[in-house]
Amino acid sequence: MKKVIVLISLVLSVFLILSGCDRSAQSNSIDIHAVMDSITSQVQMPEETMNLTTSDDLMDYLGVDASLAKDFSVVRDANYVGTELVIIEANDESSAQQISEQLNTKIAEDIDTYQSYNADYAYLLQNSKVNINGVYVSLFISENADEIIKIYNSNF
Amino acid sequence: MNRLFRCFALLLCITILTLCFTSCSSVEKELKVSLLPSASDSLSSFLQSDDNSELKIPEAEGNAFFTDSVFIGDSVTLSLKNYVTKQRNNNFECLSNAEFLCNGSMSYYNSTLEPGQKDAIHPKYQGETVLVEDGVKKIGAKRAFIMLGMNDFCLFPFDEDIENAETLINRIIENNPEIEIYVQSVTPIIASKEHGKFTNENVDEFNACLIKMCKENGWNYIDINQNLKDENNCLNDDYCSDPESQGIHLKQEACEIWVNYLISQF
Repeated sequence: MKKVIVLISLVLSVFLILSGCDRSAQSNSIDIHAVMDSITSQVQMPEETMNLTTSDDLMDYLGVDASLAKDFSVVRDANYVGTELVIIEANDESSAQQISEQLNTKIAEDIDTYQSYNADYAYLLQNSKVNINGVYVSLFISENADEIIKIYNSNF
Repeated sequence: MNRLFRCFALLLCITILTLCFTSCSSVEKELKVSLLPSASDSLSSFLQSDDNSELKIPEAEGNAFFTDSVFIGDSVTLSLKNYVTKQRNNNFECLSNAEFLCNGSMSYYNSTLEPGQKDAIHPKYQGETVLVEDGVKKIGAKRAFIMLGMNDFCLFPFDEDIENAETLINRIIENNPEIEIYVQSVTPIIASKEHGKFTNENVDEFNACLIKMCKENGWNYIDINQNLKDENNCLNDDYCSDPESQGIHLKQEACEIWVNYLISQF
């Protein structure tokens, strides 16, 4: 009887430990589309927005190689330039680093292009920051960037 | 001793069961947090999103004409690119497979400067900055629809602007001998943003120079302005996406007019 109880206790303990490990891994995992929905529903967005949905879009608009990404959610101003909210789930942390570098290159180039031409947008770009959180890379170009970052970070 | 052991075993089991239930409940909470927003918000965003309503589908007839075309332009053409991308991402055919070579503030002048040279502005293609003529070649375009000049006509005399326009277009033709050239008019400005040389009168004069250039060189010219102007010869305020700043960029509604006009011409 004692042996059975000890055995059951051991099995349950191992199960609980493994469940715990699994839960801690899950706590760093987010549904990027749900997070983006949450952001766009809480923050004032431009009158007309568009989503980038294809690999070509990701390269064309952001200079990001889609083969580095497992999934992405991008919402931007449809009329011209301005608000651009980017959340990318990279394949791994190394890919996340490469995506971050590609986004930073894009920002630097756009600052060059727009600083003498569209100062408001250049200011938004200068105040934006690419952030890496595990395999997630984010970039929020917006007048409400601080608020958006708070909402985004609350998901981790 | 046996009784003591049983008590201990019972307590251990209760503790383990409690932990199990706590663990389950915690997982359930996490699932709720991650699933609820996507379930409720995705429906509301679907219903509210202008991705799914309002914008009309450009008529299919005429889209085929734009197969293997390229649109070359400045920030005004960026708005068109956004409109076309949005339509395509919603599974609507829009200007066939036409591609875009555009960049904010690009002009006939600065697009002909060498890369790295002061003031040079060039478009990107597949993540790489390219000269316009090289980008057209990489795309393999058969027709080029060019709308530049908004960033030219206030800076230099019109004859210099036209020389720059001819330089760029001739470079495109040299690199792509079979290409057909379609020059599009410079679009109007809203009345409240006219100032100095930046007037609709000058836009019209500059467009007249473009027409002359096209006639002399055997290139096509497309006047897309007629449906964008109000009764005062200015960009209709309703079509302007930046009336408080530059007063030249087009709303999606105006891009729809632009696309439909292009399609109707071919």
